[in-house]
Amino acid sequence: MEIHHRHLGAIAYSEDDVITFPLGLLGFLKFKRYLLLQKESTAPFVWMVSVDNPDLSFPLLDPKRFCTDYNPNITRRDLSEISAENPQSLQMYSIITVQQDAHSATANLSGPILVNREQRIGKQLVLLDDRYSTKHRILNS
Amino acid sequence: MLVLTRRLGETIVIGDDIVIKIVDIHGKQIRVGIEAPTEVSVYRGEIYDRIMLENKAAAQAGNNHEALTELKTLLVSDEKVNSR
Repeated sequence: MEIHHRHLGAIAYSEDDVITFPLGLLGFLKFKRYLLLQKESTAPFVWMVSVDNPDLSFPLLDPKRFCTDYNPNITRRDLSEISAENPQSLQMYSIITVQQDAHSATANLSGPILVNREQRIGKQLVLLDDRYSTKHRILNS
Repeated sequence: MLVLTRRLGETIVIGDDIVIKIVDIHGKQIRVGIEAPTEVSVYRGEIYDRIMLENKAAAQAGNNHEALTELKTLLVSDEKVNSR
């Protein structure tokens, strides 16, 4: 199967590559199936692209890159929702927002994306944690 | 909207398995305890709204390819500096 993305071009994928977000993302509840694309040309970004609507995509980064002590509280409920028994298979990402230029880029540390790679299930957490904001400056932070 | 008056320690029951309890009242602040089954998500309203807005902004900003490319370059060069 193949979809077309405006930056990444043609993307060939198989069902095994699709990660399901049973609850969708807040504001985009209709779209539940995504690809997480990591290309050498776009590294360190990982692109999260909706399989059902490739116009809907999000650039992601590993939050440890710019917030080394990032340590959000993940609840047992969160873990059970993505069927995670093995923490080793978990991967955490922050959604990046770039408004005008690179220096204004922010990361959403309050709503991280948690993915169970083994089971291919993901969830956007909504942290009950005041330490982290939705607009964490990436550069000079 | 249904509006109920409650006193400290009193509860509101929603359906068969959601209980909301007024745990503490201190001036303008009220502490609320919530018991709900695991499949029911509980959020602070303003954080829920903020994340929804940020998702929409990020989806829009994904179009800003130039800025993303610039950010990518800066991040990679940052790393080289840090690893020296």
